[in-house]
Order: sequence, then C-alpha cells, then structure tokens
Amino acid sequence: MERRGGGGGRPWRPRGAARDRASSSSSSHGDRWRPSAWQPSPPSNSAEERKGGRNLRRDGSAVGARAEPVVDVDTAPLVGTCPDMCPELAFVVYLFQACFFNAAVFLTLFQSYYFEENVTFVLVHVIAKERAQREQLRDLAVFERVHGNPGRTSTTLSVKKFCRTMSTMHVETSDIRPLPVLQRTLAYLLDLVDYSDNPFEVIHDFVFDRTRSIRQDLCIQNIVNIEVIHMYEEMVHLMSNSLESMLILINLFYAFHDTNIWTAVTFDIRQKLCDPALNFVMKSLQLLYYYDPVGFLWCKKVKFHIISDQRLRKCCGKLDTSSLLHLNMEQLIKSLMTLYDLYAINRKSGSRNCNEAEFYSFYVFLQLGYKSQERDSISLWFRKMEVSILQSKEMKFVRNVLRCFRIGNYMCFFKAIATESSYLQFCLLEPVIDEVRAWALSYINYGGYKLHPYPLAELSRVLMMEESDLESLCHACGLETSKDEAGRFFLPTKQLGFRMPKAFQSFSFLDSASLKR
Amino acid sequence: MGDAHRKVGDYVRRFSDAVLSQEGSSLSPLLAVSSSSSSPPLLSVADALAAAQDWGRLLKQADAQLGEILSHLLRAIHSFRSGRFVEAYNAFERSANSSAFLQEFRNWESAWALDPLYTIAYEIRILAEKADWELSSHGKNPEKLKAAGSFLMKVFGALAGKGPKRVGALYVTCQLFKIYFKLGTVHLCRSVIRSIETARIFDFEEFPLRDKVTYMYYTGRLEVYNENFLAADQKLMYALSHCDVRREANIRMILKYLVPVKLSLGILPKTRLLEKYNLVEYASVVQALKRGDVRLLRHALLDHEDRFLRSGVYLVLEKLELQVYQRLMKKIYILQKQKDPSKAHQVKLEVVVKALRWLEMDMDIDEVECMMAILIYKNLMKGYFAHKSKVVVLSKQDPFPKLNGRPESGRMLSGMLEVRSKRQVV
Repeated sequence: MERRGGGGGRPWRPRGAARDRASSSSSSHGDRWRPSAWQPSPPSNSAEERKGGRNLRRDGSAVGARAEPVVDVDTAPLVGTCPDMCPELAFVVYLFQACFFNAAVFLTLFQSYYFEENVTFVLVHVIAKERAQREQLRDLAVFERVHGNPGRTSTTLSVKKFCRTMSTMHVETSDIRPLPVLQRTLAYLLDLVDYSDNPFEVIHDFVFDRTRSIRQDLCIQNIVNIEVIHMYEEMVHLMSNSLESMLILINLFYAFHDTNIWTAVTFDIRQKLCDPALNFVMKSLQLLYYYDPVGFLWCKKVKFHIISDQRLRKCCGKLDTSSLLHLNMEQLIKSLMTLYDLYAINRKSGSRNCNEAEFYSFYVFLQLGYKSQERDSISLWFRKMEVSILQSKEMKFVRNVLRCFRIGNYMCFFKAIATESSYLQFCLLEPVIDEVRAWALSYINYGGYKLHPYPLAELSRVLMMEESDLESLCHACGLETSKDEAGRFFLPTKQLGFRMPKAFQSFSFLDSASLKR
Repeated sequence: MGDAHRKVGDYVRRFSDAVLSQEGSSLSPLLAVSSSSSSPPLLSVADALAAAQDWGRLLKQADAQLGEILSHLLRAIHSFRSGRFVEAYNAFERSANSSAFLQEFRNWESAWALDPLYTIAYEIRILAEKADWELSSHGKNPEKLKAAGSFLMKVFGALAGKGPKRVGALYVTCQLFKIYFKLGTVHLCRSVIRSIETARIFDFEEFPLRDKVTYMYYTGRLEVYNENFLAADQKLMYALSHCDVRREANIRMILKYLVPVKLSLGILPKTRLLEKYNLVEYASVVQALKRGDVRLLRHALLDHEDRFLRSGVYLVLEKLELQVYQRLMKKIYILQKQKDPSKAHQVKLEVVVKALRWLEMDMDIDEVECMMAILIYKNLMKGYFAHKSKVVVLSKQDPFPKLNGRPESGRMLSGMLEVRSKRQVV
C-alpha cells in the first residue's frame, strides 16, 4: 500500500532486535497482559525487578519516577531537524504502545493518564529506531505496512507514533519534526482519510494517534503562528464528522456510568470493553477530554461543545442529560477561556486569527443563556477587550443582538439573528430565542387591546416559527388561543394566566425565506 | 565616600530610632521608595547608596532584625533610583514580607505602625506597576502586580483582628481594589468586600472617611457593572457627598459613573454640572433624552464608543434608548393635545413612523408596534395598542409615569437579568 512517492531523505536501514527493549514480560501484542499483576507503587523497585534492570533514562536517572510533563516550560524551544515522518530515535512509553493491542491496558493507562500522580509508565529508552522496534513488535498500523506485511515499513509509510510522556530534556532535535515536515505529514494523513478503503475505525485510530504526535511535536517546539493554526483547524476538522455520531454513544456511556467516569472505570469492566460500541465510546471520550493543552485545537473543541449542547438539549426527554449538559457547558467555557488566552498570546506577536471575533461572540451569547445562576458582567468583559475586536463585524452583530435582547425588542432580535448569525452562534442562542419568544407573548398579552386578538399568523412571522409551534408555545406559557370562522388562530390578550415555561421543547426557526435550519 | 557612608548611616539610624520609639510618622517617609526622586532625604540616601560600597557594615549598627528589613529596603531604593524597577519591586517586597516586619507588625499591640503600613501598601502597588511595565517592555510576562495583590491580602489578614489596627483594613482594601481593577480581575474583590461587610470585627463607621469614600467609589462602580442601579446610586452618592469638594479630579471620577446611573433612574444632570467637571461625553446623551431623539443617542454612543466601552458604561447608556422613545411619544402626545385635546390620547402608529422618519430612523409599522408593546409592558407608557386599527391608546391619566428615581419597573426581559445579577454577591 505504497503511497506518495518521494518521501523523506534518509534511507532506512534495519537494525537488530531491540536489545534495549525493556523486558521479556513486556507485551508484544501476542501476550495476554495482566494489569492486576502490575503494581503501581512503589514504582522504582518493582519495575526494575520485573523489567530486568535496564530501565534507565538517558541521563541515568531511575525509571519509574514520576513521569515528567510533556513540555518543560523553561527550556528553550526546540527546532526539529528530522526530515522523516517517523524519526529514528524516539522515547516510547512502553505500556502505552502495548495498549493498542489490549483494551484493558488501555483502560488502566486511560485512567492513570488523567490523574498524573498515578502515572507509572516505565520510560524506556530505546536506542533502536522506533521504526525497527515496531517492526519487530509487528506494531505497524495497516497504513504503514509495505505490501501489507506487518513486519515491514518504510520512510514513506511510517508515521511517528504518539508518545505519551516526553521530557524536552531528553529529546534530541533529530527526534522532532520541523514545521514543513509536519505539514507534509498532516497532508498525508488527511489524504489517507479521504482515499483509504479501510474501515472507519481503523483509519480513525491511526489518524487520531498520528495527528496527536504531530501536535506533540508542535507543542514541544512551541510554534505558534498562522500556519500552525490552520494545521490544528484541519486536524480536528477531520475528527468533527465522527464527533456527532459519537454523541449518542457518549450519552449511552453516561447513562451507563456516573458522570465521574474516571473513578467508575474499574477492571471489572474489562469484559464489557469487548463491546465495540463502548470501546468506541472510550476513544471518543478520549477525544473529548484529552485535547492537548497547546494549540488552536481549542477552537474545534469549543465548536464541538456548542454542538453537543444543542444535541443534548434536544434529547432532553429521552435520557437524563442534565449532568451531561452541565459538564459539557463547563468544558465549553473552559475551552473558550483557554482559546482567548491563546489569542492574546498570538496577538502579542502580531498575528490575528480570522475566526477570533466569532469565538469572542460565543462568550456574549453564553451570558444571555437562561440556565446559569451566576452571570458575569458583560460590561466588565468588554472593558478588557481590544476596541478593534469590539468594532469587528462579528462583534458588532453580537452587540446589536445584545442591545435588542436587553431592550426587549423581539422584532429586531429575530431580524438580526435570521440575517447574520452563524450556525454555532445560532446553537448558542437557541435557549435564548425561545425565552425571547415567550416574553414577546407576554408583552402582547399585557398591552394588546382586548377586542383585537392578535393573529398568530402574523406573530409567527415575526417570531420566526411555524404557526403550529407558536400555538404550542402559547399553551406552554399558559395562554389560550382562539379560532375564528375562517379557521385562523388568534391570541386573545389581557389573559391572566401567563407564566414563563420552565423548559422549552425545541421549536423550529424559520428565516425569512422560510427555510428551516 | 565617607560622606556617602555617613548619609546611609544616618538613614539607618533614623529608621532604627523610629522603630524603637514607635513613631509612625517618622518611619513612613523613609519607606516611600517611589517618591525618592521628590523626597530630599530619600534622594540623598539613594545617591549615597550608589557611591557607598559596603552597606553590610553600616547595617551592623542597626538591630539584627531591622538589618534584614533595611538591607532589602536599601536595595530597593538603590534599584529604583537606577531605573531597575523589577529589582526594586522584588527587594521591596522582600523587605516588607520579611518575618522581621510582618511578624513584628502582628505583635505590635498599638496601631503606631499603621501609617508606615499604609505607605508600604501604597508603595508595593506603585512599584509593582512599574515593574510590570518594565517586564512588558522586555516581552516578559507582567506578574508583579498580581504578586503585590497576594502580598496585600496577607497584610489584610494581619489587620483583621480585634485590636486598634483593624481600622487600617479599609485602606488596604482600597489598594487591593485598585490592583484588581487594573488587572481586570475584578471578581477577586468579592472576598475582600465580604470580609469588610460581614465580619463582626469591622464597623464601617470606624474607618477613616477618606477610605470610606474610596471604598464606596469602587463598590459603587461594581454595582454599575452589575446594573444594580439603586445600590450604585446609593454608594456613589455617598462617595460624592463625602468627597472633599476641592478634589475636583476625584469628583469627576465619581460623576463619570454616577451620571449614567442617574440617567437610568430618570434623573438628568444640569449642563452646568457636565461642563464644570468636563464630562462632555454625556452632553449629547442628555440632549437625546431631552429631545426624544434615538438617532442622537446612537451617534453619541458611537462618538465616544472607546471611552464608554473602556469605562464599562456603554451598555448602561445603550439601554437609555427606551427612555428616549418614551420622551418621543410624550412629545407627540403633547403636540396632539395642542391640536385637539379630545383626541390626543389616541396616537396612530403611522404618526410615530413619520416622526421617526423625520429623525432619520427607518422603522416600519410592525416595529413601532413592538416598541409600543415594550414601553407599555415596562410601565414607561400607560395604555394599550390596538393591532387591527394600528393605534396606541394612552391612558387619560398620567400616560407617561415618571421613573420616580427608580429603574423601569414592571416585569421585563432585562428585568430577569437585573434580578439575576442582584443575586451576585458583588
């Protein structure tokens, strides 16, 4: 399955068996690895015993000590020099490698990754090339195999795998791929997605991991510029399609476990992980929560959470989604804040992301939402922003909507939203839209002449909803509707029974061209 | 050289004497590092420090404990004089934070050291601001002001006791406010406000007036941001009425926030007031409210958009649009009354459309009806609108209720926001 002629420069030479591979008890994918036999603490002694004492890091420090974070903040940024997609030398988190072949192991690591204190990965320094080792272990993804041979790969096919923990102090510049190589790698992976015949899950796993490795290389080199932004946006774009379908599975998962999934996951569930749906969910959750800290990946994460919010609200009746909604909203706000920090950093070096204004607008729309108790002052937030952003087209739109909302001008509100809002802005505004509709009914009911019941046909046009939906809304607000001889519906005014509904069923939104969103 | 040594020695001696005799007023000027260029004694010692070489020896004259405070303090003075602000800040913080000072301060029963403490609180903020400026200009992360905030919280803790020192807490609070407002981390004000207002050890009336004015000014501003206009009015009025009339700059600052609050409550300031305190940015806003001219209001907001956004009153002023519409309707009503009193209370929506068009506002009849519905609902107008006949019928009695110094009453869309924001602790 050779693709892309003319790959990297260095010719590949086979190496002998990885003598430095940690131990015989390591699980190549043939072994049945038993997590219960592996005690997390005390790490140094037992690990050394079991692994045969070869477990020293390059600087000689003992293995099993607490793994270092991915990026050492104080060291100078590296510039990668490796011309290949898969560099010669790489540190491999041995067990993580193993986990691709054993779901239970994956589970353990999954759990321990989140709580850093429990990270007890054995850092193995492999002198042999990662490629060679993986060949030995037959750990080559389908896409990396030469003519489908699980034991052979090449520079053009092999793509550097993601290494969970990597300290910059131990990393050589030849391990890290520079930006142009990363861009090439990404393009290759994107092509794979488009043209490969393999089943989706297989592609997804491979691409997910390899893009993660790309992000790690970017992170270590601390490159923050427009090209990187585009790469990130592209990288997750290819994830976004699968995210929507994952939502149902995620709901299932939350219905299945507590929301505190990390503690809920135990080895007993190992059996259930054989269930491919749940396994898929686990991987999806990984996507949800394990985004790398650096990068404009947060852009897409924010988008994902916004869409999730909308979908979750829609399936309100079917599952108990309130805790999931809350969690999702938390994540959304966190991601937004991180994104804003990143924008601020980026701005200092002079470049500006073209999507910025839209993402800033999300904050304002979030504040308008009905649910949350504690709303921050928007005035304060505007105070901190650069005036040029506040005067951008997107923010002007936001401020216009905000003004209409605060004044209560439902007509302007709907006109503005219908003409200018983006899909994501619309998602965030959905709960607000229904609230405004209800208030509109309240105003009309209060101030309308008793002898002139208000025609629903006209009102539905103003409120941009189907007439039947408007009727339902009236009833939900405790208002009765009337019908005349010609069969037209009206809202009689001066009714006393108005109340704000606690929750809204989702109504349609018709823009002026009567196209449903 | 000997002269320089002598000067430093003098300083050290004065410092020790002040501490030993517990004379706050003598100690304070020695701590005012940031004004060393304007204060002759500090200036001379600052210059002397550049010339003198071995301070350590000179410090041996002083008490061992004071030696620690003094060595950092002298370094701060020296660094500041040489324009190295980050160093100056670091040294000053170390000096103030040293166990010799803060610990001792806690032990001193009487409030003699309160004045020096005020100086320290002020200095640490000023030095931190300068240090952050230096960091930013070198492309580094400005973190000193934040550190100063943490330090002041510690100081606040030292003052939150039963003894006479507690009256100093409000001054430190105000310094914290200034820091938080500058950093934009205004939400951090919450905890310190809660301490001042709910802790039993504090009696607000005991605090010095100057501090109370500053406190009310900042908490009033917070109320403005949260749109609690009645509370904002009360606090800012307190600040205004107790502020020294000669401090015109301070009065202007208070008015900058009080004017939008008053406008929201339906009270218009006299043009004289705006002119006297150079608050010209509000002039057009006031005029728009008097004329019922929405276009003028929008232009006024655009003209001073920067300023209003920066001070955080933009959204407050925007909302005045409703009152402007009310004024317009009132004018139409008055004109109709002059023409035909019996029919005056019936206003055709078409007339309103025409009036708006004359004011260069393009609104169709449905939008106008919408505005009428809002005005009626929010009790800015009494009456009803008849959809079929496209007419708004005003109540014969008092169709335009005055706001009566209260924000627009009635259940309203944005009323929900107000109620929600009132629940906030800030």
